[in-house]
Amino acid sequence: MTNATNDLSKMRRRPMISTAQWRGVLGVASVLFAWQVSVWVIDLPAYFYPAPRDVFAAFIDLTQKGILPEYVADSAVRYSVSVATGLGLGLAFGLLIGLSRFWSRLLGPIINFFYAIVEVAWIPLLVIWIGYGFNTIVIAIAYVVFFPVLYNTLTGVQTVQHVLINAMQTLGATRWQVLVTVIIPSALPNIITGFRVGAGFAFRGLIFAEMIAAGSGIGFLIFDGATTRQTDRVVVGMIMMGVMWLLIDRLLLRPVEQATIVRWGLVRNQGGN
Amino acid sequence: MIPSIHSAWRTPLMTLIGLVVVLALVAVLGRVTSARTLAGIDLTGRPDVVISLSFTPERFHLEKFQDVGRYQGWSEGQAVILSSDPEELRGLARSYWIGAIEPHEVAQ
Repeated sequence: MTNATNDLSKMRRRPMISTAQWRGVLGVASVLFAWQVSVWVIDLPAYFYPAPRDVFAAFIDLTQKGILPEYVADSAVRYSVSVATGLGLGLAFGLLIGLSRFWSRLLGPIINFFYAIVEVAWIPLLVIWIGYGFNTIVIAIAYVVFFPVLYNTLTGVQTVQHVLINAMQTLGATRWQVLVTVIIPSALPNIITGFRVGAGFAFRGLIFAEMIAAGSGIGFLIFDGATTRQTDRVVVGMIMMGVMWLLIDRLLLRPVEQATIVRWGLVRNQGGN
Repeated sequence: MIPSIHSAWRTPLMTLIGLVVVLALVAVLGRVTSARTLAGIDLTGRPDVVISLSFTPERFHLEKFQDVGRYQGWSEGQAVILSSDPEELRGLARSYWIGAIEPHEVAQ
């Protein structure tokens, strides 16, 4: 009874919006204010330097016309499929190369060679081979995610304590059981780190790929806005990019990181929220 | 010590569930809207239709119209599409930015 009362009083005392969130809101408001003041001071045409009001109007216009929701959805789908593909392939190849000397010698130099070739170099070729659109973008972005996941998985596999593997083998575990119960859990913090790094690179790559090889998406909105001198739409695209990344980071990547590497004490939670 | 997976994965799991629920709601709402918007259209063949919008269409909208059928042009807030594909038309009618879809009647 007393515990329940204490919990209730704690809930009552907890403010709806925390101090950190208030600071975040204040930061955004300050940036908007400084932007508006700079528009008044510099006094350039709206197509050259749009004011927050113009950008907000463009946001409403794009939403009413159904363009923005569809572009955001297109970008989100491309991103999700690409990251999942890159994660799966990076993990598979990382384990293969990490666990087998034969595959390491066979694939190691080729993978190292391709690591140096950025996805931007592939996009023109992919456009010729596959054409504009979904598949080209997914391949290019999966390529971006593949390498950090692969190299981090490799590091994770190579740093597994051999005493654990030996102990499992002494107890009669099969190779599969050693993989599932020792190697993958030990390598998981590295895999998650690779995933987080790859997911960040992928988001930047996505926007770039959409500028070159798509007829929709946030990247295309920015590119199209620039070519038609609708700079307010360009800024809407940029803001949407930031918002999408914040949502992905806050709702997916950071909690996954919390659930794995921070939770297991491998890295310390950074200050602030 | 085995970490409690349940509490640690709550946020990403809830996010995914929320996303699925929102997408399902949008799909259901789209189907209802589509049926209502196309109530007066005979979808057994390839109907000629007039689509009303409250704004001037952009490339985004024109590409959608061209996917549905033969886009004839735009005048006085209306786009004429000939020989439209019923399935594509149903898909287009789910879009919230569509004002109305009516049969195209040619003046005798």
